[in-house]
Amino acid sequence: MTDAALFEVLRNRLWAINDEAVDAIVAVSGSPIATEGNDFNSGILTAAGEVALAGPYVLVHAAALGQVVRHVIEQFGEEPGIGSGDMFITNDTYVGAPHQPDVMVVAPVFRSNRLIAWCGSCVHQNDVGGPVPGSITVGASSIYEEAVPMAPTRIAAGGELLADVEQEYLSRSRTPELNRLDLLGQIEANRVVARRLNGLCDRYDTDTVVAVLEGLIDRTEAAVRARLASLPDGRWRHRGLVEHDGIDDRVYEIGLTMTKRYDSLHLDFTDASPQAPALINTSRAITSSYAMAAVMTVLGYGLPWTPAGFWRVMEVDTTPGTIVDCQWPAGMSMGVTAAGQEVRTAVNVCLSRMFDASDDPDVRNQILASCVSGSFTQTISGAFDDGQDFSAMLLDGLPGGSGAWWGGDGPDTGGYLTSPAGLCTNIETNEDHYPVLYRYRRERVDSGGPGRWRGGVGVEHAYQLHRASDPVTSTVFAHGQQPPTAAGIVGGEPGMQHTGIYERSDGAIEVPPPKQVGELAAGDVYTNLCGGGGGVGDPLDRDPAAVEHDVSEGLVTEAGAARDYGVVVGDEVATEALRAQRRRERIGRAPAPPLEEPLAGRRLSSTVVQADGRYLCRRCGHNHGPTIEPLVSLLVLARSPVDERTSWPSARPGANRFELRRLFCPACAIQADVQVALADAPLLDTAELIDP
Amino acid sequence: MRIGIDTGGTFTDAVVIPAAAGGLLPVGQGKALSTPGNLIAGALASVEAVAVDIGLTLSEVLSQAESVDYATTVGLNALLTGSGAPIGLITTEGFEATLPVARAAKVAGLSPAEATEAICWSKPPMLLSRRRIIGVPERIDSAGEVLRPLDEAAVVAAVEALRDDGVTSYAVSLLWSVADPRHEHRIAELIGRIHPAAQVTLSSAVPRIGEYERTMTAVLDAYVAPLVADEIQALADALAERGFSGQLRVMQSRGGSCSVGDALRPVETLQSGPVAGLVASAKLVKSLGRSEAIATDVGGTSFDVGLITDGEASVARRPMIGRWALAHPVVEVVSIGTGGGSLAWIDPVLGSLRVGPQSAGVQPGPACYRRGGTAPTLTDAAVALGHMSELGGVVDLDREAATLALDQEVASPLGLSVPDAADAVVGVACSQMADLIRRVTVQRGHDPADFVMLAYGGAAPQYATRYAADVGVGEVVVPAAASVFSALGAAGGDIGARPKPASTLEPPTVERRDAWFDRQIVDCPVYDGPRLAPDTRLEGPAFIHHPSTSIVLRPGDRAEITAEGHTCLFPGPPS
Repeated sequence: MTDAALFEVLRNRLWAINDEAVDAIVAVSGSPIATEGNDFNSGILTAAGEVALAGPYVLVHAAALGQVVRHVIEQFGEEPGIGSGDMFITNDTYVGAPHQPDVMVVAPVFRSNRLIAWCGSCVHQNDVGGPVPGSITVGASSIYEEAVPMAPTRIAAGGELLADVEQEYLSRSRTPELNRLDLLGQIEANRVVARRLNGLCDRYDTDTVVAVLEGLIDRTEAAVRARLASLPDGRWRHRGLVEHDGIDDRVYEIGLTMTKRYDSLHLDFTDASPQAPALINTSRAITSSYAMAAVMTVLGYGLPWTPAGFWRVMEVDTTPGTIVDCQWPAGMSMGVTAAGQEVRTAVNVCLSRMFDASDDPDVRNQILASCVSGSFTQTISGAFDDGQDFSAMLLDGLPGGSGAWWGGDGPDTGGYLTSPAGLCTNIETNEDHYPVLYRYRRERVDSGGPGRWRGGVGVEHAYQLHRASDPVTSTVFAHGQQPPTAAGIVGGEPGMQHTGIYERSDGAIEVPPPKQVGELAAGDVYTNLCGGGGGVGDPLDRDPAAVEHDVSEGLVTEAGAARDYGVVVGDEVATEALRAQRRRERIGRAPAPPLEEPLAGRRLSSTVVQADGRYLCRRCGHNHGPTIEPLVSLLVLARSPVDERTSWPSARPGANRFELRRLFCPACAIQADVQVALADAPLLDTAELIDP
Repeated sequence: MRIGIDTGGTFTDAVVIPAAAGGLLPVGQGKALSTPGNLIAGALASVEAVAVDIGLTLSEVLSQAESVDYATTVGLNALLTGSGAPIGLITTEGFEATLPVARAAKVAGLSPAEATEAICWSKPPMLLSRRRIIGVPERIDSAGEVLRPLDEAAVVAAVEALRDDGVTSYAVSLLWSVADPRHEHRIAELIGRIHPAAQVTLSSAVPRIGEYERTMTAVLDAYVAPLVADEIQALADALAERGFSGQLRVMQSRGGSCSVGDALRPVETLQSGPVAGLVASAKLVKSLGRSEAIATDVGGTSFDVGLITDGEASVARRPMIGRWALAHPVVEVVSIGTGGGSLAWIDPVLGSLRVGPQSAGVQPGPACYRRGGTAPTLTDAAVALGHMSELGGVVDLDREAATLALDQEVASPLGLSVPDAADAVVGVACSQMADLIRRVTVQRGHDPADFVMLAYGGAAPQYATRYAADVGVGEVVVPAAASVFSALGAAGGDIGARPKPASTLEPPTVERRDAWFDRQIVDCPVYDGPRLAPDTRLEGPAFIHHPSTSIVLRPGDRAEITAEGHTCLFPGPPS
């Protein structure tokens, strides 16, 4: 067989082998979060611990496998050495496990005495110990008050499961029998991969199989570098926000400066707030995994999703002791949906801003706003009315809105970017397993980020206890309740914030802070309002017919159509007048007409070009001023409260610390950028070109 | 006698089997081009072709037939072209978003290329506007207890609104109707009273927990039901006009036929063609005295695999059709987009030689069809190698055109000779097929060595020994009626064929042909399939030519003709 055909045959075989490993896990898994929600992943790595392929499930897990394997090689490789049939288990977030409930089992693959590859998987467990069921501890002041992670530990040697280590792992959990099923599934998955890779070596010879694993990475890396080289050089910035650390309602900032030069990508996260005591942090390893997952999904369109091929082109910088590079004993039991999601959003937004600077329309098609970030997760635990205990993590917060792209709206209730195959559960399944009764599951009107292309709307749920022995402990966890976190882009607006609401049986309304351990009693209704995705482009440029369609489908209200899009439903003339009025209001005078053809010049974004040392409006030709000034200082700035679009049932303390900043062209009034920031933070200069 | 009809994308096939007394072997078979837009015409033409085959007229065959079993694609076509009925959905108030939320599934059913491009992600198409989803007050809990009685006035208002909006077909899907369907039944009664002409589908027809899959299934059923009903009626009328007075039955995706008018669920006809093939497979396997088999079918755009275990076609764990999740049991047919029309191309990133999933389709089709296609396909590779020269007895294939296309797009860029490039294309395609077979066997704990493989449909017999050898299957059976296998399955016929030809000393050949195997050109016999006597033993390299299919024997492969007219293949070592 020719090389080109053999490579293809082996590439397909490797995918089939990884699928087989996934099947082995799912077949026995005791974790409904893993099997109903697809909260797991499996991958095959090179002998050096680079991830050559991984499933489409949780992409952060895929990157994490590489970090864990490389750590194991470093720690165990020399002394005591790594042998055939060894396996290692860990949920250590400092090493790479995304959070403590994510248990990873990795194994070397030997061909007689030669280490030819690694494999492994990561599965979200119901419980891995610590003070509270579910192992996510709101209120912890350090990792000692969370589930203390298990450092990478040899759990199988020479093919035999080590019963003492298994016992040490399982004894931590409230659900040892369920965890054991997953452990056995993960071990079997690794055995399957080892057996199949050896089978491939029998047939095609070992060097060939190893060469395909390496080749997948090398060839993907070359393609990623070629793509980067074809894109403009520059610096792009974003600042993510996480409010509340589980103890105090403090605000943590995560600044990213992304620098792209020729074919490399530098992600500088050094401008981040000091670490929180626990809960919301990420380690440097998790930050890097999240960054890679975002780079692969946004920059990797149309390329093979070979994780290591993307990993190799990125350089990540962090400052030890910050929320994205926390140091022992900082906890991080839910950092994966706190700092981690803000890392993803920052990378997503900066890459899209880079695409916006490209002259290639196919590249600009890929401009993608942020998906929902940090929506409410809830764990409930207590007993049925017959006394039987239960504990559940509800996945109701998963179907937030997805981000819009340059050419289309974001999928409504589409969920997260970096978990493409993530699913929420059926309501009947929840009611079958837990003592709950849902009032509704709805699409949340007006929650999608307005834009020329609208962000997807989020979901909303309400439920009450049903046949439960009350009260039930209810722990909620989110960020982005106060500031909107699903960033819009190219003048698009962020998706609406999320929130949880308790409506007590006496009619009292309580809005819990973004992290809270509370109670649910008989007759109380808990409502989960999930955020929408970010929009793309100036909302006043949205086709009025699309807005009217959204209104008729119940995704946008008539009031929202007027407020967010300047559209008067059913009245073209009034729409035109309202839009003209909006543009006037933006800049305080009649706007300049757009040019017939957008202005040529060195493109910074959809709205700005550079020529002769000046920033010019691409749309109307207006001279903003010299490029030695930050562009943001040359545009018209309008500040408004972050709650202007929401109609909350009651005030959410802390929201007034943030503001929405809209930036317009002083002449034609096009909305060039929308930023969310702490009110006292400086304006962010989001885009800047670098001379090649 | 009994008639089986299978409407496929390209051809409509028909068979006639004698009534029970004379056994169930097909006495005649016929093929006609499918007629999109008026599938009945193609169906009748195929029956006419059978009639000719057995020396009768169409009305003679129909008046003698006691039954017609029909595997239809009308529902599937409606789904794929978005031409189903205007539908409305009545559901529990508060849960109107079950369908649009779709459990957040945004990549389910997408191609691998789409699944790795975020801007391609979308929810499965809903088939109706949210305006036509109406919630009514009612609630039943998981124990089947009525927590809130059905608000009948709200139901009446909903039905009137939907009717006035032009809805002709209703899906009714309430939470926990699996625990107690009484509210769904009452709504059906009310619809019957207010809008008697309308079609109604209840989700509780499928007793499965999980409101999304159940609602989606009810909606799909409502969407295709009027068209399926119309087509069945039109076929019934057309058959009756021509003298048919027997029973008309339709193949269902759980296997087995359903009499028209009975409890026919249109959504269950969506996969009736491939399922009919598996039903036939199960019978064939039984007749061979076996109970485990891998059924394979290579079509123009896809490769389909089904599994027979313990003598039964296996049922899918998470059934889907296209991008839609289903709640009812479906005989499992897994597919990949590798078929005769799949394009061969060089991956610009990986530098590897890829086959599919893009396809040249029927128009323009492979280069060797000479219908304007210039891109090389799997069929072109087989033609360039000399492994086939005509298609289904109707299309002559141009080896020069195939060679040219392969040279330009594959051989020259890779610096290979055309035969080497063609062999590589066939090798990649067969390895993809083998991967899919492993997925349904090895991955579920089955050892392919324990299975017999069936190869049917037009093209599977060409590639079967190659992918069978790859997965370690020791025996491949090409059924005597391989090219009308699904029609036979629909008719419930036994699988075997034709009067035995007289035994001859030398197996009869139609010609000799130069063909490439293992990078060498070999002078190969082309045996005349229909004239091969039972117990004939053949060795590759060779070809066995049948009117509508061609079997390839690689060097090392052996073949044996059975008493029933099947061809058993014993694959040599992997290529």
